[in-house]
Amino acid sequence: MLKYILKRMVQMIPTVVGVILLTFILFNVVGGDLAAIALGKKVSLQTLQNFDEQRGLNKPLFFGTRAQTRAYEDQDLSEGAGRWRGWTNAVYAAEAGTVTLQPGAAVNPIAFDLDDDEEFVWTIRYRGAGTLAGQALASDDWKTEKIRFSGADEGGFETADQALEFRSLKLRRVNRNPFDSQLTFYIRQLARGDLGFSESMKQPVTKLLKDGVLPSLSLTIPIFFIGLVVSITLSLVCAYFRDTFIDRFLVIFSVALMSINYLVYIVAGQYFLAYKFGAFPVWGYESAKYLLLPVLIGVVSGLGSSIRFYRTIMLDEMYKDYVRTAFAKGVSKPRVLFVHVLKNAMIPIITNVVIAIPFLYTGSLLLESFFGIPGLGYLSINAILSADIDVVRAIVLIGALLFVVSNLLTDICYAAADPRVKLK
Amino acid sequence: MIPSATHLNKAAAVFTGLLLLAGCREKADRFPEQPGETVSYGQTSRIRGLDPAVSGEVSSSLAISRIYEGLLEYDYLARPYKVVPLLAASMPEVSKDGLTYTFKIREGIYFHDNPCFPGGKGRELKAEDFVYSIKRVVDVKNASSGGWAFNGRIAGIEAFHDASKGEAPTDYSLEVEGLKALDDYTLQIKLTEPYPQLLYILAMHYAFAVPREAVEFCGQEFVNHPVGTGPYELVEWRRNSRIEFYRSPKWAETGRVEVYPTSGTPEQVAAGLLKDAGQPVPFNDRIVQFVVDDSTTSWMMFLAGQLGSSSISPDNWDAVVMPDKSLSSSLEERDIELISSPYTAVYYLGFNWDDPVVGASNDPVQDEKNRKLRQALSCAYEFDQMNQFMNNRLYPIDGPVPSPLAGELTEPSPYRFNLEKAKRLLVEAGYPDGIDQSTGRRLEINIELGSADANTRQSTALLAAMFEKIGVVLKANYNTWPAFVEKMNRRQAQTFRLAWVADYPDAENFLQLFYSKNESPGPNHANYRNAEIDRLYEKIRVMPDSPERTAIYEKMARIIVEDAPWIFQYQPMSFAVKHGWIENYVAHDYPYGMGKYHRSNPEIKRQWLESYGDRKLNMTGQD
Repeated sequence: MLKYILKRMVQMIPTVVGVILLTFILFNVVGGDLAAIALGKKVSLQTLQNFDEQRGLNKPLFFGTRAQTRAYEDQDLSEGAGRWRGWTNAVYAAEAGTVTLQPGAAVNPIAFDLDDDEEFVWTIRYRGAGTLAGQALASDDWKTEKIRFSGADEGGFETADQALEFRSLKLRRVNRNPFDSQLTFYIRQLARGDLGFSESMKQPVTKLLKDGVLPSLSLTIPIFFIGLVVSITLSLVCAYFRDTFIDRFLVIFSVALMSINYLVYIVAGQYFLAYKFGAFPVWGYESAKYLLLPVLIGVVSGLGSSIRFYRTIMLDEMYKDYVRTAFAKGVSKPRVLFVHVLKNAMIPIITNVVIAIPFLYTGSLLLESFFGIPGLGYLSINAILSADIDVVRAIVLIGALLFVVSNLLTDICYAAADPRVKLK
Repeated sequence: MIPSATHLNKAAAVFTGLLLLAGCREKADRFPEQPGETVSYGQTSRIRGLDPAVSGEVSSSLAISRIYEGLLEYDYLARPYKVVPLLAASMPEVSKDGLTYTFKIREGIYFHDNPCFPGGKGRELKAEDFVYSIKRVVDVKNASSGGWAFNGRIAGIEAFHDASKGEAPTDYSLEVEGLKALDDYTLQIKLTEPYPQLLYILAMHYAFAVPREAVEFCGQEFVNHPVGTGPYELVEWRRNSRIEFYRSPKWAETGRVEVYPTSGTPEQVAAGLLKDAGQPVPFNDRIVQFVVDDSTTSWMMFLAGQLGSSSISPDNWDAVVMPDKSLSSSLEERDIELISSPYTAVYYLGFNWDDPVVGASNDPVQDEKNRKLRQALSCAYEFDQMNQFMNNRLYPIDGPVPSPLAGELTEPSPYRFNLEKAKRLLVEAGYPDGIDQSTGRRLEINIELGSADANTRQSTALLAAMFEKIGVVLKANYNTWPAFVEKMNRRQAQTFRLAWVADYPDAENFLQLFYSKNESPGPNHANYRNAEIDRLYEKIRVMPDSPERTAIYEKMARIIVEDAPWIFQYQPMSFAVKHGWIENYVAHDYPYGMGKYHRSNPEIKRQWLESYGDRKLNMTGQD
């Protein structure tokens, strides 16, 4: 048994690494510009760059010797003049998608003073003659050149008596250690047990999760257990009264429950039960009393599908030989159902139950936001809407880890529930 | 200030009590169980943090300004708005050249008691606290959204900003030339160029006094454990749920008295707003704010008397407010009052100056054609329809400066709604009937939006229908707010809808949106560029208020109207309802720190709950 668990744990490692990589790629590659969100409405490029440096966002994503900088952001000249519009001695030609620097011009497109200790590289496709970052360029045909210069030097263009025309221009910072990347930054951070820092809340993510997990669990755990007990009981009732009025009624009832939208339960519950009849508080998270209505709604809304699911399982078992034998032996019907059938139906029930555990921690988004319960569901949706990458990443990562663990848990439970299952 | 979608909703109120004071890491019971008077507000946007230097938006600012204070604050009743001394003993002495501001700071102001101070007793406020607090805003590590307020304005502050980069803890002993405590009660601020709006900036939370001991004691937790000099202390904050404040005992202990303003307009006297003139504030012992996300929920709580005030959901508007803008009779019977006031903000549709179709062009002929296109689209925008859609809650606006600021244009804009003119201008722009002459296809314009909620979608569809009348197709892209901001910062939006809410009551705050050096990622998201505007802006930026400056404001506004980098859509009105027991309530554009003037009358509330508490109205406020 112990050997089996250890073996499974080792097998979990590649899954976990995959999850870490995936969450990183998902949110760092696709995610928004963190600096712009954190720093608000009036910012300079210099301030954005300082923020990036502080948070390690100026590094390459995975590895590499070149990194982007905000001093000159990439721009497709065939799409428009962009930053090149403002210069009087630089003329933009829309058809060709090029910028021509007039003779005798001195133009520096770098938005702010570069860091003196760093090195930078211009990549330019040009023709004509002039100097860029102090190095001479001269070519009659289109030519691509890379120019490396120190941040302490002047990085701009100068032209003498000839014009210089270019159609693409890129600035990169030289990353001295190619493995000094955002990915290694993230992994180092995880290794320290640090889940990051929320830019919108200005809080460490661990603190946010710690504050949110209890309210979430106080809502989802009662819903989970009450829902489980009620639906299994009702499904056994269905099986017991199979094909009678009670069974038919419960089936129709569960279909009706399933067909009603979750939101309807919430709004109707708040309006009738809480506001009109005053049986519950309308909103809030003050004491256990405030949880009654959201738990009730949570249980009712999940009941329909669970009853149908468990009823099917129970009925499947009812046709098995051992049930017939038990009846033939003269065992009473309740005993057959609650002892024999329930025990044998455990495997699908366990599968269904254990797999639901990771979702307990993510909370219930709708219930939390309608009842003002400060849980993780609420936290995640806010984080997604405000592109608070570190928070979303942490929640997804923990959710995935819980999923992997509960998979293992399911297998162990199988062995406990069914003596025929051997863990090897 | 750019409001995010939820900020426009206003306050509401309730009462309950739970007594936990979060020190920094320990909790303590310091406030009486039985509150005398209690008031609580709910609001529909979330408080993100309570650190004056780093927490940015409206709801956080409101909470922060209950606990912290600055040198100056807005007068509660005076209109037009003006700032008055708060922690400063008087208005500052300003040097002739407008560069040096010298503040005398009031003696005998104490910080709240907190374990971060020796012996747990709050110490006296010193000029050095302001020096420290302003330095915190420009510290790179704090990633504050308020850097713009001081960067480049206070002499030598850039050096501090640069020095704060990197892993090492920031050295706050580094002197900033323009930011000095001459003695314990004298603060001197030296600017790089005259900046008459500095006084408004100093009334914003970025310039509030923060004690260094608390920041160092709490570290990253400081955002949750505020220590200020203000009328209230934090009792408990449950993020995304509720926040509770209690009257700080420190004011009574140290004999500090602040009073309700003693003068107001005759209308304000008639409205009973001066009943408490000269009385010591704050009036309420306890304030509880709730984060109610759903407007239906908060409306139910308001009708049941759980909240003292509420915004009005657009879905309910017709049933609650009559066409003549009075309240429905069943609400009026219950002493519910409607509060309305115009809001100093401009909602606009911006054209990206970088765009070859709607922006500027190097070719003067094309440039002129693009201008005509912008003017044509401005003429196609029908304010009345938009106003009808928004339940008549809007004011028309004829230029970049909203009412009631000096510099507002009084004459109607030449590009108000006029379909004939729109069609004519469209022909001159080279798109007769909306057909692009070079391709033979209909002209298509893309618009970026920062939200995808029903209201945004419906009003954008309305805009599209307006443009359709002159044959132009409007294609909408709905983004999340961060994605929208990023598109604008990268100048990828052809057109976009956005709003600017005044940071302070001066037209300069709106005209800066047209200054070319403020282009994206700065606040000039249209990337508008006009040498004449730049020249005039640089001139007015350093001018103190004068008729001459107002004349230049108007001149700039006219140039901007002619260039049409925006379609000036509307100026909003803000509406709220409140129960009769909330007294001294007046709408204020800069409500930060104004909560101390409100009074909740427990006697009236008790009577109300006895007579109406159990008689529930339906959702529309009818019997």
